[in-house]
Amino acid sequence: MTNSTMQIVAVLFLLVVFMANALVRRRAQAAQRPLPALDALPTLASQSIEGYQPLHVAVSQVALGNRETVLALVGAEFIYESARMVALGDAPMLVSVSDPTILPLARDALRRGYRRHKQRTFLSVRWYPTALGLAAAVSALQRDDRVTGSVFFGEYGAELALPLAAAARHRQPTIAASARLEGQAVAFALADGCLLGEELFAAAGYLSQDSGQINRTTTIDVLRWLVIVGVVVWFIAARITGA
Amino acid sequence: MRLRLNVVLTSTVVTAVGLIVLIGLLVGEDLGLLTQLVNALPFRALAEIALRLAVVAAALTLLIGVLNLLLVNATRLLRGSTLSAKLGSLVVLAAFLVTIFARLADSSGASYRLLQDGVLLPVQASLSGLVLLALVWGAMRLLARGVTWARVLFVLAVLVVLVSALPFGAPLAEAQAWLWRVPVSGGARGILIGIALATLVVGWRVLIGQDRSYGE
Repeated sequence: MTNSTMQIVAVLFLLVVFMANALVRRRAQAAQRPLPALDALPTLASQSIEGYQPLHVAVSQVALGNRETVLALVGAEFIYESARMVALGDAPMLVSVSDPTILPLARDALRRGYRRHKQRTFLSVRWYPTALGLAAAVSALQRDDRVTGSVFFGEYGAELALPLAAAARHRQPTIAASARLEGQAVAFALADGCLLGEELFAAAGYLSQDSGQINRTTTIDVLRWLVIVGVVVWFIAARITGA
Repeated sequence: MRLRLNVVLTSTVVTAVGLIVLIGLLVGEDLGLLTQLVNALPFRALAEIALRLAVVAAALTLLIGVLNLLLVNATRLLRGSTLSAKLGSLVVLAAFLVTIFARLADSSGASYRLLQDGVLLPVQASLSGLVLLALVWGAMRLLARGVTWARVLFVLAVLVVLVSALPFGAPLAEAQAWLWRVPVSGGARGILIGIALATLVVGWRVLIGQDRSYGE
């Protein structure tokens, strides 16, 4: 495929995304699919408030300024929604990140979450360099800092097994979401709740019940069905023509 | 009112810079009228300036990260909730100071390399070994938490892959190859396409100002 063909395909695909997004905005709000992993988050927040112990969110291997930028923004939404829940009772919250570019974003999300309920803000954001470093540090942190439970979000690989196993040993609840397949497999095996595939992009809508965020999830679902139909039509056409 | 103005300003800056960079990078030299239009306006120059600014900002965050590391661990050392938290932070701060000293005192970098090869790499290797143990323990614990069809399928797939790798597991090798070729490959592609689509939608919505995960 030549460069110009790639450019045209990219522009056309952006147009399809634009149209799908515009169409979904005009339609009545669709019901969201159940995400059991996220149903546990309000309970975790309540336990955090009752015990005055921090809820911990660890964001790994996402950074601003590279291909994970969008995932970083989604991670910030997740931190905001968690902080909003915890701030209902003035409980602290703890955020660990593996990339320094996320530090300002995470602090801003925490600040906004606490300010939403006009609460005292807890801007406890920690940087642990490298994915393995974060995994090792978080494994110890969960017990040392007496966290209520942990939420893992980002591009985790097999190293996610370290903090999840540590949390399971200490009987601390965990929710894990990774954009990488290895991380998803580990999360499925070890976490109490896990988000698979594009479910991690649906978290903000599911937690906030905000119509804009729910529309975003619906747009993703519409596009996914378009891709499925496209693949099936392509397959049938290839069978018929013998190409 | 101040809050609303803040939102409008941040959204305008994000949308303007995002669209300029997108157009500057996406539209190449052989797209006819679109290329002429982009070349006539300073899209490419502005996109380059925005990207350079992003690189400088990212470099600055590294300094913020180092300051954060020192401040967080110093605070934890003084006011940590447990003794192990205080000890952990003490080790981090001591390691930081030793590494900085090794780098400054020895211009040849031999001490620094010694620290890297003698401490950092073995620790990382042992942590990687622990990952394997944690994974095995996780697989054992999976069915103890409750039996569902998804968990049974997961454990069966893991067993097929592990047994087929053994010398006497040759009869399962074909099953393993099929597992990789058909369900694993298809499922993996499906998940990755889903994530790519979601990334595209969120990226687009950020560009047009519908999603704002910043400021307020």
